[in-house]
Amino acid sequence: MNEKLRHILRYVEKPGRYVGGELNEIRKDRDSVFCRVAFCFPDTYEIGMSNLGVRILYGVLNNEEEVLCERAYAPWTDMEEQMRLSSIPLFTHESGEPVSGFDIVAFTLQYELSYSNVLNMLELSGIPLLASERSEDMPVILGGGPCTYNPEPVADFFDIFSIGEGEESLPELARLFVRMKKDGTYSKSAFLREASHLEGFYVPSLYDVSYNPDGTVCSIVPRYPDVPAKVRKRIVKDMDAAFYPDKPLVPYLETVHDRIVLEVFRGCIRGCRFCQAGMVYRPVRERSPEVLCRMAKCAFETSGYDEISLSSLSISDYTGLSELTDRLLEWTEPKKVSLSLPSMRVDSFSSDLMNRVASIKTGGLTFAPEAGTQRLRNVINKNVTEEDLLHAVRLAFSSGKTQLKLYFMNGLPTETDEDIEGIAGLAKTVLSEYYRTEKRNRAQAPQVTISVSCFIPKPFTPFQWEAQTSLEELERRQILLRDCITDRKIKYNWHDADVSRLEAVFARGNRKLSSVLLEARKLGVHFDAWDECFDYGVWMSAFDAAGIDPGFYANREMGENEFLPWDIIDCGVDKSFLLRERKNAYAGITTPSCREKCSGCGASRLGGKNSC
Amino acid sequence: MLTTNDQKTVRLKFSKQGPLIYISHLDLNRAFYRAFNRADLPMVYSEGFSPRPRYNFALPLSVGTSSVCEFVDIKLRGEISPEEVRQRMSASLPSDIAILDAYVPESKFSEITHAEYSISIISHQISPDSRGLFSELLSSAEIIIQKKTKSGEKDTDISPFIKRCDFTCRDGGCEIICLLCADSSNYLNPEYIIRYLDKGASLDLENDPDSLVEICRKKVMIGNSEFR
Ligand code: SF4
Repeated sequence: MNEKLRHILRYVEKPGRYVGGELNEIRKDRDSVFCRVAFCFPDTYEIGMSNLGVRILYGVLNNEEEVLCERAYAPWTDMEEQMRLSSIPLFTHESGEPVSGFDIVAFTLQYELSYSNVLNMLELSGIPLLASERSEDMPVILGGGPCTYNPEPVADFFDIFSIGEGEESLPELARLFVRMKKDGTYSKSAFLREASHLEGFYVPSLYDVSYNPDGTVCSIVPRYPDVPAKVRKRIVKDMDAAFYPDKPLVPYLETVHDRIVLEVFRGCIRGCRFCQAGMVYRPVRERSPEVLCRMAKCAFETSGYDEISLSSLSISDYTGLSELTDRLLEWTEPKKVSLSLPSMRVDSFSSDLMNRVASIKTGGLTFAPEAGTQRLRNVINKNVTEEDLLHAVRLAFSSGKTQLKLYFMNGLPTETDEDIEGIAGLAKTVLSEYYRTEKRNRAQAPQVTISVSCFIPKPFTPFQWEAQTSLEELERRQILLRDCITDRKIKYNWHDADVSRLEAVFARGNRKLSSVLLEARKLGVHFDAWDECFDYGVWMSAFDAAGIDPGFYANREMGENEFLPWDIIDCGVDKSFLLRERKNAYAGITTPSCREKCSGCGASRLGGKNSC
Repeated sequence: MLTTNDQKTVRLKFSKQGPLIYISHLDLNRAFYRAFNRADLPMVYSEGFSPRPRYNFALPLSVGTSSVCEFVDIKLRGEISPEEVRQRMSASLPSDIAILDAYVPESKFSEITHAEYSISIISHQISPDSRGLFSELLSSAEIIIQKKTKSGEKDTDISPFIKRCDFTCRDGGCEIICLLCADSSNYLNPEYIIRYLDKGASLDLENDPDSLVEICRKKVMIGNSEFR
């Protein structure tokens, strides 16, 4: 660690965020490898370290003998200020080397609101923001993660995107780099051209985008015949055989998810119509209980964590859940390791699970009905009835719980005031269930918290064409709901609608938005996902300066025949299926889960062991 | 049922260096907890709904300070020798925490009275002549600093808590060895000494990018003898 850095660490809030040295950190000799990757997480250390995907990719890349991967996170505002004052460029935690000296600089794009941090991190590295302004000898800027299902809004800043799951494709990309470096054929442009032939990679500079007079995209076509017209996402076919870090990185600072995260399966059988994850991670691929148990044991022994969290989109849909929990509890109980299941569905909530899982026993309980009336729940295909919810609630109250949290969405397609009032009504019914429960905990006053976010139309969902409800109308409905809640035992939290609007713009945007990002960066935006940093007004000035109307992206219903910016990506799910689902939504017809009946979404052609 | 006869305490003396000096006392606490798990030691757990292993540290150490004399007492059950605890913990802790000694303790943490620190300050404001100014600053009858309390900043006189302070000054920097009170009711953080000198000698350390401050806890004392 150099002296300049040691000097500034004395004056920042949490210096431990910037120094690395965590248990199981991987250090390699720079000179003995052919491909050096700086893996950048465009948010704080505490959030980045909690991300399982990053840990997997960090492990899988370092697993390659000729590849090295180090980490960097977005410096918090106090650190950024100090770095700029002392002219310290962004550096990686392992070696402290400047990010700009790496061969590949990878960013994981987890949420749209981190885009300004991506630009800021490039800036702090001294790397020109626009790909077109970077010379041949500058690093390859790689993007991956859930936002790359529509990479277009940030396409001008990246050289290449990894689409889909990266644990097989990223090592392939790195191997290609190594091979070209070794045989002397490497140049950035030659490498990118070759990489575009690998499955799951999109090189935006190899495509021409044309627009219609109304501003919609007309086409995105490859410039050369050897470049694929559509980029299919990569998936890991066999989860049991997939790479998993056997020595998880263990941070010293307290992070958001500071525990062993056991990824039980990928995908979701449900098909909620607003949920992007439920669509783009298809098909469902499960890990077997044996493999999971082995992974958990190994992770415990090498990390010493005292909590294991079973992770997936909807954990109760795992076919081996009781076998897995039985096997885990056998050794976790004597070792005082607790199990947590964060993603329970109300219709599968049982007293059996309740008694076995510590986090359910001790923590608060959260249910997600998402909408206030059965009509709207049918529209969004959240196949949960009021009776399901009340059954779960009764169980919770009779086991001594008094605090419950319910998640809802505001602004869903077809939503009326009745649906909004229904949220308040449902919360009331839940609360009165407490008083009807014989065995309730009388020592503590009950509290029902309802947390309401705003609906954001997302690519590759049946609702991808919908207009987001206007800001004014979203806010009116938030107030309407507030006024419907009269009981002080019901607490109401809502998300800021302006934040959701910005997310909607970037979720469905095209390449024209890069000028907005550049303007916004000039105005100094960063850490937009943080209330203390987000400034809607500044963003609106950036849109003005770029001459772009955010409403065109957020609040316009897109045409069913319109070419969508993300049509260049094949995520497995067919457009025809999404259209069918959209029609069903408007007709209030629900679609069964994949386990009950296959609806022919198209994802099965991607293959996958133990899937559909 | 376990009786207290089955339990014993093992004390570990360790150092904290490298990037690990930047983690807080709370972080260190968690790091040890996980290290116990990895080392699979027969810990004694507290009673109650969420049992915690029983261990505690002698003195907190500020973020940014290194040390060669930290102590932790661990409650263990059954037959396990201090040497075995040392070996297993050495294997499980990161290399920036080095275990220097392991034994069954004969003293209590509450007996600790002082701690000795070495402080190094690099700044081109410092010259051999600074020694006089520094000594003068720290030998005044009252040394008033602003201490943060729950109800805002409070003026505190720290002079009774400074037992000894020796300076070696050269061009561009100085070394300070100081012995400060470290009992639970009169604990003085060496940081205050640095801030006092910084202000009194107008070093302006924060805004001088070439300045550097390093603090290391060297010894923990009971009166005139070293704590063990
Ligand atoms: S192919 Fe059928 S079973 Fe498989 S994910 Fe699609 S709808 Fe579900």
